[in-house]
Amino acid sequence: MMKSYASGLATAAVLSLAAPAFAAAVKAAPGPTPAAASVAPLQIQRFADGTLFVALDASFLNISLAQRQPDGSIREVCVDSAAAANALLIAAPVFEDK
Amino acid sequence: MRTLRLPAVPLLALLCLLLAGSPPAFAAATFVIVNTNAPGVGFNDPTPAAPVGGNPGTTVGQQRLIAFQYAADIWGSILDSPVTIYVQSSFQPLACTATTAVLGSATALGIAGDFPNAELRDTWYHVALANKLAGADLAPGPTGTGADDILATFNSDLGGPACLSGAGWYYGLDDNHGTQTDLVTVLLHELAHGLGFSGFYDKSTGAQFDGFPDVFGTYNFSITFNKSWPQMTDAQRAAATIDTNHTVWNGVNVTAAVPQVLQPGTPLVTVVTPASLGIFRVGIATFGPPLAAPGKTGTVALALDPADAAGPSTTDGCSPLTNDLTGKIGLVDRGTCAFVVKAKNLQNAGAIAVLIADNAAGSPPAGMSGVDPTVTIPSVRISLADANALKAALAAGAVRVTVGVNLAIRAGADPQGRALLNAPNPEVDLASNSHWDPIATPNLLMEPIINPDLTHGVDLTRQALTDLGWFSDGDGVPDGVDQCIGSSRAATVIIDGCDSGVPNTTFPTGCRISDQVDDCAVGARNHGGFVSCIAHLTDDLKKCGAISGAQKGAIQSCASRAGIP
Repeated sequence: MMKSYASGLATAAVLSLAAPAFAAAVKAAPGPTPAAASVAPLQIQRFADGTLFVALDASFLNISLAQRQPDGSIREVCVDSAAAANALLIAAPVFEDK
Repeated sequence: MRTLRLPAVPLLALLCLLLAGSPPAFAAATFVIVNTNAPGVGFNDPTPAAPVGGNPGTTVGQQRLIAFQYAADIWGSILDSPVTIYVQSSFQPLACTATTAVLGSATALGIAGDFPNAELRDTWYHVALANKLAGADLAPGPTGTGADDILATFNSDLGGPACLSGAGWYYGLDDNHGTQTDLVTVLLHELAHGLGFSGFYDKSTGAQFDGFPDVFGTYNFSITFNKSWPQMTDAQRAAATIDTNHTVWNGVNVTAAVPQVLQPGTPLVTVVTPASLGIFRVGIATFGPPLAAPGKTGTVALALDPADAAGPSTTDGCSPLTNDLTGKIGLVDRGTCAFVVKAKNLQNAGAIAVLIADNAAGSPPAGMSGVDPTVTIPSVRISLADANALKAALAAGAVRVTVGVNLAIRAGADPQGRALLNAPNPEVDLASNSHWDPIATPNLLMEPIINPDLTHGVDLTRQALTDLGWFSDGDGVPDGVDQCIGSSRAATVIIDGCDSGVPNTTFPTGCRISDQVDDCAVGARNHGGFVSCIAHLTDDLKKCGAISGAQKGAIQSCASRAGIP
């Protein structure tokens, strides 16, 4: 199954530093958190019709995890960074009785 | 097309009545699951499997794919887009331990701004939503590449040895997952993030992506700063991200749905004296009686006990108390001994309720577990910050509080009826405001904790996606403030085929003249009633300057000739 090519990406160009307004200034946009930032900076593309587009990377993932609690139940949570996911992977269960 | 009508706001259209209407006639969206697994693994796993819970697949791979398509089709039956949504999907071995496992992840594969028909300029949109609004695939290309719209990766090892053993996926479609993890529920949650329920700013610094807001943040509102996300400085945004109980969703569709979705009653501590301390969020206890309305009101007293082997502090409540708390609400510090021990000691000293002060910073306070059927007074946990404020007030004079359920506030909403967003402090533990506040009752799909009692419903998330623009009528009014989503796109007012030639003006509320004509048609018992309603409507429109006298006559002429009702 293939999607057809149209004018979009085929004519897109990575913006120059001189681009105005919305697309201004930072062309190598940062990821959401330093801990989760992508290695390669994200690039903003401008299409012929003025549309701006950024292909996101794994630093923007929402990540769901499951953790077994002391009572045997499973707690499912969703976090929005790899750092938070890693913290939960090594954290003790949150079942608190004191 | 009928419109979704919401309560009016005081604008020009005050004279132009907004009445309740029926929901829009939604179209559907097509989701394609793009299987990127190699042969023999993931979706192509040939391991035989017995059909389960309505999933007819006979291999593990088939069942995974069927469950994926089922979850996607739930969203497809709800959302409206002329552009196919491609979900780049795979099952892979992901991080695991014996007690914790990554279930899966998802994200929009792209964001777009300033595309044709964008409701908000200078604002980032998730690409699937941007495609919908633009009416075209903004980033076309082969499937299985960055040209897809959503990336979804799930754990193929779950439930196996050393990966949360015994607690694997439930591939059934009937939600009868028991102690297993319901794949469809997790998928519904993660796909919603990719469809729009997520922000793209840096939560630690507050910086927006490339300095510009995203559509999700547009409807994030800080009660503390009285500003929405785009209106704040980076520092304010970072502070609001962890401002528990003071961050809400301010889109009109979610707010209108809150009374139908969230139940009345929020467990709270309300400080009666000094009232300036306001209300405190609480962690509820699994022991003692549940909190009730109006709850227990009394003077707060610090519980005092010996510093001994049971507990090194005189305020830990781990030993029988040395002061009398008869008729009072006892305040005791968390730590050393079990919550139930503290509660029992305070009960024995005569307390009518227990406030347990957290010993670690953070909010909202977590719940408290423990079992002791002899505890008969209610206990709640309050944050360290709130406890310190109470102690400072105690040092200055008498303090009275009410511990109970406030029925005036819906569980998961603020006192003004806006849905609370998750804003935990510290932020790292759970994803911050790309979720609803977990205090919501009943549990919602997009809480940070994916609760086992969810039933494949989309509750307030549907309205959030509506606010974001998934049902845009292209009238130029963002749907989060549009009170008539689904307005006729006709340029002129047309009544039963009669074109009045009068411009179909759009008001700041997002409602158009045609919406008000529709209201007359729906409300009229007979043709005379309809014509009379149109006469009143056009009088009001003329008075507020929306139409001229000649245009008033043109609309009335069409109305009189219409076969309505």
